Amino acid sequence: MKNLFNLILGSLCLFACEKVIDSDRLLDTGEKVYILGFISPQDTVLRVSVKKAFSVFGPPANATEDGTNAYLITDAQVTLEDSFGNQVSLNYDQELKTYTTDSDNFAIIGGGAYTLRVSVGNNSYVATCQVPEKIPFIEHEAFLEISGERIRNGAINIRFLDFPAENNFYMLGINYGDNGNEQLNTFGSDSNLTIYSPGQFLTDVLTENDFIRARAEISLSGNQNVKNTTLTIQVANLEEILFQELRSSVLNQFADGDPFIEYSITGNNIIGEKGIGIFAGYQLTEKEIAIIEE
Amino acid sequence: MHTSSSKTFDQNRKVNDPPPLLKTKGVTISGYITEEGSGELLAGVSVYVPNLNLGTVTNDYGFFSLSLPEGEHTIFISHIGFSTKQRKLSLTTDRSIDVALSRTIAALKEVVVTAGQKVKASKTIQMSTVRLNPLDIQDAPTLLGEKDALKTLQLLPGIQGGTEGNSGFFVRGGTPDQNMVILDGAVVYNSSHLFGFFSVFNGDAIKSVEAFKGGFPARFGGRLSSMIKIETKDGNKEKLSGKINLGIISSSLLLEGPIKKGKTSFLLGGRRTYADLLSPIFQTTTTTDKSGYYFGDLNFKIHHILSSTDKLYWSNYFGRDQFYAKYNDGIGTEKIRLGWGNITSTIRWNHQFTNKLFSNTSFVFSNYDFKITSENEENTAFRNEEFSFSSGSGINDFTLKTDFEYYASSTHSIRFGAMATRHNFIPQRVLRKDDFVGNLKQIQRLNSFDSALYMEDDWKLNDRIQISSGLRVSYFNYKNTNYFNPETRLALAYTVKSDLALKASYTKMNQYIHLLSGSGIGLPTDLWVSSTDKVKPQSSQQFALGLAKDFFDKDYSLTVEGYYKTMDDVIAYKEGASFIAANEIDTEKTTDWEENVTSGQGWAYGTEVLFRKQTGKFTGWLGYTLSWSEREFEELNFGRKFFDRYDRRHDISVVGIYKPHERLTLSANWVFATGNNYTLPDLSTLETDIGFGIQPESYLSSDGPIKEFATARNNFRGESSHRLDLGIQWHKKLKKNKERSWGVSLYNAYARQNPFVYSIESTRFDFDDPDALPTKELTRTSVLVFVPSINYTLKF
Repeated sequence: MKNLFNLILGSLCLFACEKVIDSDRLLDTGEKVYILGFISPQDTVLRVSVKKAFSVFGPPANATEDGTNAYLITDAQVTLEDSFGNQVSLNYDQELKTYTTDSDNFAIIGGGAYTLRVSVGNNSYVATCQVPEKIPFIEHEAFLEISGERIRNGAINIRFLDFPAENNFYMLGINYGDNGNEQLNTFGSDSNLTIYSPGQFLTDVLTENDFIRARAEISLSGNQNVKNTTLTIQVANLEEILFQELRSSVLNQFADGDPFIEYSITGNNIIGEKGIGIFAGYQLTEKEIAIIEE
Repeated sequence: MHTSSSKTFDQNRKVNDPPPLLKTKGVTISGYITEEGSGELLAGVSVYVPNLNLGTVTNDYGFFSLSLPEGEHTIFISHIGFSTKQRKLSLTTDRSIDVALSRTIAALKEVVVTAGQKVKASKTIQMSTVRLNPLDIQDAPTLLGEKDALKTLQLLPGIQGGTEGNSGFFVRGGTPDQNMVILDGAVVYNSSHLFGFFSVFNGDAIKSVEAFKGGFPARFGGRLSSMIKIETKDGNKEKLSGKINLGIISSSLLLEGPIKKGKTSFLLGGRRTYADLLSPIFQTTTTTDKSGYYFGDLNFKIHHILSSTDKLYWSNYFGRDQFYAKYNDGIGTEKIRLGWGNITSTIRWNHQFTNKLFSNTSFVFSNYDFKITSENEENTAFRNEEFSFSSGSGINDFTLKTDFEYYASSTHSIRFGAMATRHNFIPQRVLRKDDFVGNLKQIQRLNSFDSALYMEDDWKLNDRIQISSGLRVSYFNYKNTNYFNPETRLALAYTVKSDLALKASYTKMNQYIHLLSGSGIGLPTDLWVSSTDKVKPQSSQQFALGLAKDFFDKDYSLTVEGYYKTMDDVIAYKEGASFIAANEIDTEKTTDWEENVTSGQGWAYGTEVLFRKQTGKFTGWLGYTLSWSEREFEELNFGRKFFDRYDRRHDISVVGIYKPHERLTLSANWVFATGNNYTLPDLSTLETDIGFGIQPESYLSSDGPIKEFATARNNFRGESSHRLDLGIQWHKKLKKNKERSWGVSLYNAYARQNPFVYSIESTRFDFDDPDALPTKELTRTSVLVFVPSINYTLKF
């Protein structure tokens, strides 16, 4: 696609010009409240982000000359409620810049329905979600070529059983390292799979009630020392709106401003005046693989 | 505006006059009208009998049939751009007459317009139709000297261009795939070169262009929004002649002549760009990187007169765009080739059963093919080998169709026919040769069958009312899925005065094949796909009301039409899927196209005005369109209605061509269009880690803690665009009947910076003001800002 794009621009460059234009008269975007909350039984801390959103044009709101961060909303009232009427309030965490509560205070269970209520000033917002079921197991085959302390090339074939009789939306990840917070996200696929490029997003459209398969191709040129550590394979079963949101973010980044690609819009299930954002559930299944020099 | 069907009309009769009853025995005159000197069959020629106020027009193959009472009659045969001929006939029995018309130079004299000598908009029942005079295409100002039928069509109301300079078009709020472009009976799937900047049709080879925007006769089907019918010349049957055209980016040659004089003719036309041939001159000899691009096309046609009642046509088109590049980064080399194009071939057989029954039978092949190939030689620590990858898509159609025209009387005609098409889609074709990853050969095929039966009945009830009714029954099969849809067509015309008519029409259409396009500008990677069990056919209903007014003394015409169109099961890419499809062009496809699409509804409505003058020293038109086009998809934009990308509130075009004498042609057009809609990020907020277990890759490559996002589809309307194009041509007659022309064009003469695309850019660090805060800005990219060109033409 890059070749095509370059060719188009190259063809036109002789007669083309660029100009910065006044966005205010073309795009009238007012301030909004942006709410984001993804909940899972695997969470140890439940978090909900409540922030302001401003027009994309002009300087970012956290880059003001006096150092204040105009995006932050620190005085919102945030509560979670389950279908049995149990409630919990989330408090603002200065460090994380989100509203949090310990998961011991409020149980998130698979299949459960939850309601998020947020009050900001005189405005109230509400959203609901249903946490999907957890993938019970992940099967894998790993082919890792280790040279010295590093993985040079490798591939991990992954499969897991799809939930029958419903549309499911999955996201994959692989972490490595002692603390599991570094990531290898280099998914490819074979041609029989339903797997989205860039590779982390899968659906069961073509493989209903069957195994969902994916293949992670690994090729590292850095100096990461992975010998005698572990890889963690992750599979998340997501609500559709969360799947769409995460995938849109990835695709917009990868499209990299290509004007011939339709920009993906964000999801929204927040009800309330000038409110936007997503409240959704997911479940995460993880499997560790020891990396041993062969 | 008339259609190519043979419909009756009377020009001079006042509406209160008695109808032209044929009280004596009726006879039928029939025959063919040709161009003098070449034998070219002429469509749409008026054949008119003033004393009876009866007439007809020739069909697509120059044939006419007219029933008259016995006796002596004077017949006027006239056509725009040709001198009118009169024939006195004493009719006692059926007669066959063939007439040759000679071309006139409009500049030599102001054509005296006599009521009844021309087919006028107020006298035909057909509405929502425009016919382009080939001279309009030849004379209008052009981009880089390329005469372009589709861009000239865009200057007419209801037919809108997409982005600046693009030959892709949108008719009455529809999408590009809802337009059927038919070249000599064959569907052309990709009608543009160079990503839409030029159409694939060689302007010199074109005989006629006719566009139907609504009120579709039953003989047309398979698309929701328009039928663009382009006919190429048959070839000169009298002498060898030709045309050479030299332009800035391309040159063309057209040769036509008799194979057997008066019986068999050929036409051969070719065009090619030469930027790739010149580019090595500008590339340094030290670099091993090379790239180039060209497009070319070839028209070849043979016309053979088997007998006075049988004619044979064999038309062929071959067009290709090709881009190639070779890169060497020191580790290895990569050769890339992108190629795409159409091939069509049509065999048509005309047969005249009687002087009232005419038929045409066609066998048509149409192909579109896109292919990208990458060949690599790599020499690294991991690889030391050659590997290649090839990917592509395409479509092949095989069509058999037959059409009959029966001229029952001077007030009644019937058409009927059938067609059947076998579609062979190849949504994906992958060939990989790679020892490391493994070889792969994978072709996805998708076959479907498309067919239809139709009947049209054109009936003039009395002097005031004409009615045209039609029924088309279409059948489509894909695997075990069958679609069977009747489509009703109805048109009415009410003559208020001899020069004023009110018209109305209703059409129902079905479309069984679809174009998946993520770019909206007609890239070759756009994918044609079939209706399946999951993807339903698109369907539409269109209502139109209008008036047609003629001004006989000045030969002006005015048409005003309003339309309302609903579209069901229109398809579009799901959110993000256009990236997925685009990203998979040069890789293996890992998604099924059906998974990437979603269906919804569309609404389009508006008003069109066309004020036109077609004869005299000064010709041209003023067109205005006021329109709305909306979409609603359950899976897009949160299910909310949104304006289509090319929803365009106002569209104005003014076209003028002035020929003060035969040695000079001056032309100008000015266009104005409301801006297109775009989806751009409009809000930003602070990126926050909310503890989600897997981070998308993008978060790793994010260049900062600020997140940008778009809250609605097509949330941003771009600026309006307008431009003035100017053209001048100097003609000179040379010895041996040759003619030389020099042409100069100025595209976008006042250098208006019209939007091509918009993007959001970050301000760069300002060394003069190091404390300045970083800012996001909206940037407009404009193309084709003041493009002069020159071209030379030699006719011989």
